[in-house]
Amino acid sequence: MAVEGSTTTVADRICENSPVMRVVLIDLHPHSEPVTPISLANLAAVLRRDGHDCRLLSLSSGRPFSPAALRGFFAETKPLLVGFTAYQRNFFQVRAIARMCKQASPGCRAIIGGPQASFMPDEALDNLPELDFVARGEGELVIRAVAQAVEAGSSGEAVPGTSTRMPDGSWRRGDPVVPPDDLDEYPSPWLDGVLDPADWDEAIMLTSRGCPHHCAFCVTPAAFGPTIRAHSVERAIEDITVVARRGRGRLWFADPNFSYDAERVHAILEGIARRNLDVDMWIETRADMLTPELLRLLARAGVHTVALGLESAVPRVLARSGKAIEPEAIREAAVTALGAGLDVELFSQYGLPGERKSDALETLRFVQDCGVAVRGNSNAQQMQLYFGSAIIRDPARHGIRPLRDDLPPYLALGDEFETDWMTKAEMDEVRAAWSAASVDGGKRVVS
Amino acid sequence: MERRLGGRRQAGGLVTAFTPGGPPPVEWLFLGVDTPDAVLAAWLADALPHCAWTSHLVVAGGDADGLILDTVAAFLTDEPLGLVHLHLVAPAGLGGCPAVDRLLDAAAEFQAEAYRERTGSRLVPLPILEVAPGDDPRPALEAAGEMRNRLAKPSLLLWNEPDGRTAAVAEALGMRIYLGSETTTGGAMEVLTDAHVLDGAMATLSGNAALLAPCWANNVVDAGRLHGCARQWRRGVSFAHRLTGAEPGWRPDESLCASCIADTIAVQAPSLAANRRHAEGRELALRVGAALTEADPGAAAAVAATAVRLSTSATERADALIQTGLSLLAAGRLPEADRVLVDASRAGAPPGLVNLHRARVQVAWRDDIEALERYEEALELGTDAISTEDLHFEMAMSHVRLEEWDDARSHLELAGGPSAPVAFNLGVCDVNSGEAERALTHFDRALELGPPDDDLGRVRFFRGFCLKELERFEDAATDLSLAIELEEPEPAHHNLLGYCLFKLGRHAEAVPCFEAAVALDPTSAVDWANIGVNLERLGETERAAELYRKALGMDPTIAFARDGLERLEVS
Repeated sequence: MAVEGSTTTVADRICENSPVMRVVLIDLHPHSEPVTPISLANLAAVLRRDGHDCRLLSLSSGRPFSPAALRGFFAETKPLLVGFTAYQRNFFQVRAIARMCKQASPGCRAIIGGPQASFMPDEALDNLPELDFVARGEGELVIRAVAQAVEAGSSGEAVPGTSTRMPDGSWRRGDPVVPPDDLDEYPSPWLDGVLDPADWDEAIMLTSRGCPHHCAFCVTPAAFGPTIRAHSVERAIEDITVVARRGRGRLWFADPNFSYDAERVHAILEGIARRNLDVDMWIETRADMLTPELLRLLARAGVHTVALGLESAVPRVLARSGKAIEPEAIREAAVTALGAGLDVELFSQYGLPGERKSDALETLRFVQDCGVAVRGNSNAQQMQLYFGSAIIRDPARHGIRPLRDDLPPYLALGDEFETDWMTKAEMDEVRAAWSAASVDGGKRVVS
Repeated sequence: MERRLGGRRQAGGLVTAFTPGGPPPVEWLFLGVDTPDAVLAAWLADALPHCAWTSHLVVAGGDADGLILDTVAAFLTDEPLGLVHLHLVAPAGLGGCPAVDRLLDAAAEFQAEAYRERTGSRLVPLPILEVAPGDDPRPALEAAGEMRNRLAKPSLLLWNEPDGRTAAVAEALGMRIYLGSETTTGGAMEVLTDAHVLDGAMATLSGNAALLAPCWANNVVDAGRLHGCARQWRRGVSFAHRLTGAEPGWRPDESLCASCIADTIAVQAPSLAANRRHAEGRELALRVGAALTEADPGAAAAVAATAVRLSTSATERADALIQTGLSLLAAGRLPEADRVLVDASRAGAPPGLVNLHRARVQVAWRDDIEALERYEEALELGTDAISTEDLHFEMAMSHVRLEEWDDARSHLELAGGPSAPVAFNLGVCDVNSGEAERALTHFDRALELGPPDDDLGRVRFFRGFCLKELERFEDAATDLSLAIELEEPEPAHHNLLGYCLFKLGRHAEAVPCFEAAVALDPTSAVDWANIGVNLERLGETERAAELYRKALGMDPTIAFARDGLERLEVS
């Protein structure tokens, strides 16, 4: 399938023998243990098929390394392109490593991608002298276009799917890239050996992208599109098979709506059963995408936990946030899932538009009433406002009152706000209430 | 934080988890130099980039001139990837804490950066306020409140156990108490390195790391020397005798880790109590004690005794005493084990359980009569620690050792369903009671049930003995030969086999059997005579007569030797 806005496709390009260029991709978690770098591994798989020498670094607080060793690594490998997944919480370190890499490997170009990058305002880029590209589109397409451009040398043209630094230091946006409907056009990092399941206690899987819903706080529809695109059932089963057989069989599905297509999810689960795979799975989906029959099937296939987006137990708050689901539907799904022997996690947050302190506390009671333990991902957190969400585009319209006006333009508001309905002090009280109710000290896995 | 040895290249995939190929970086650096000088500062400036990107620097000897602080601040300014937790020991008194003030001033710059960038501060101020022995801790507590307002996390270093009020205030302020004592010979450094080892072990309670694994990578600098870990420092072992040019590098002797952890838990018990961490400390002590019981039962007993000290209820104390008693039993310290078990009983441990373990102590003492009394009480009082069937089996074993075959048999019959050990011991009882035919069926049953490999030789030996008693010498010889192959042979194995071969007229084969017996026990007069009688049958009369004389010289009562010698002398 041709990729609009460019002259090549992933499928035809991967058969070419490109000159080898060294690329280092870095997954950086300065405040947590390492996780499977699935997104960067997807890009590494593309680069590898393009013939590039791609290294993928997993850096985290749980894996000590010294700055001198990292500098030595860059000096030894001399990458021509270094890439990062950027988040609000790792951005400071991303910039530091980009500078380090460029000092150790003169001529190296740096790119950031991920949610923080995709919707970062253009005016922020002048504050980021260490960067050369900011990915604005789907990573697989962008990284290969950027790799091609770096290989070819500066042409003065903006690279498709990016904001590109021009030779004069200014920034220019390239043409948008249009991602394929069929995700099977992308190579699999599991099947291609980019990721070895044996290396990971828990393997993160991503078999579908996108979301048709319009929650005002969420970045997913903007980042991946309003329609769900997926790998074929066959490809999903192949990935699951290699992870189950080579690894520990613990799978964590990052799909935003794992059960969006009942026929597809049935086929995947049947494939797991047919191949007699011993798997232990965590999935996230919506309550209105579950039936009692599907829950039983999930349990039989090896799903141990179903995570559901609750956000708030108050219909008025949900409506104001654009989340079209009834809390009672979530309660019914949670109770049914628990009855089927599954563990249930309910994602919730406070500080939502229209939400008062009493509403937020009502959400805590709702979670407890459902029989869901307040632990792990069921610990609530204050709404985080990142670039790309509907709320951040027009905070005032959503009743958001920023508490800071001195943030660097490359950082979003995060939780530095109060609302027309809740002060920061009240949010602190809500946080304390959740913390007191938590059975694990309020440690959330997914932010 | 997970404890680990360091980075590695992932096995099969493309992902590199740092550090490739190199040693793990030091995460904790302890400086115990009383007066930091330019040499130390220069070394530290070179060392910090080689430490973990998130590292801890413990300045135990003080930093009166701010030389260490300046070096750290300069490093962080140059290296935005670095993050240092600076644990600075500073005397706390009425005159304030100038060293801490300097630390907080320096930290403010990085706190401003953190606020601006919505990240964490890269200089984390962790002042340790030292209160001299006998001094009033109140000024330190008051100063701590102010320090907390400046985003520091202060702690206390005390040389006397805190009174209740001090402990309560420290707890309310979230302050940790480091506690030294008169026996602390290494000053603040010793207290802080012990705390480091303890923290590493504590982290295993909630993490995935192995209980007795090495602690977080650390080096210690003291008097210009660099030591591979806190334990090496305590032992006076250094890998660099001058700091110049030496990089930090973790060089622990991992064979010392288990004993280091065990010793540290014992030493840190008062500190755990002062910080009201009894429950965690007790759990750790019990786990470490259990883990060490086999490899180092003495250390296990010491750690378990720490669990006793950290117990806050009679039930906890009784449980910990039981474990201590078991560790002492494993260590062979039997009088102490019995005494501790009696203490456990007084503390409220279930009497059936106590009697069971006291019986085992008596067994180790080889006093099966006393053991049986304890077993009887355990049986009467009942215990969840062992099934009634297993208890009967242990009692049967005591009776076997006492050669009380009928009593042993009656307990074996209550020792549960068919099992190789029960069948075997029933056979032993029968054969010793002269019931060889019945015994044989038990030994055959034991073989059917599949005894453990280590016991197979024993079963074959007794089966062979049984067959000998039944005068089935050919079969007996087969089993006894197998027994010799399967277990470390004793003189009796060779003697019995030789006897069977003699009975079968296979004298040439019998001779080496008895020779093997006397090789193991040269004082066995009967086996010397047995060689003689077989040689006589083989016509080697001179040698036979010589051996008869030798045997009779050792034991003149051996009739067949005397008869044989007379026979040969007449002929």
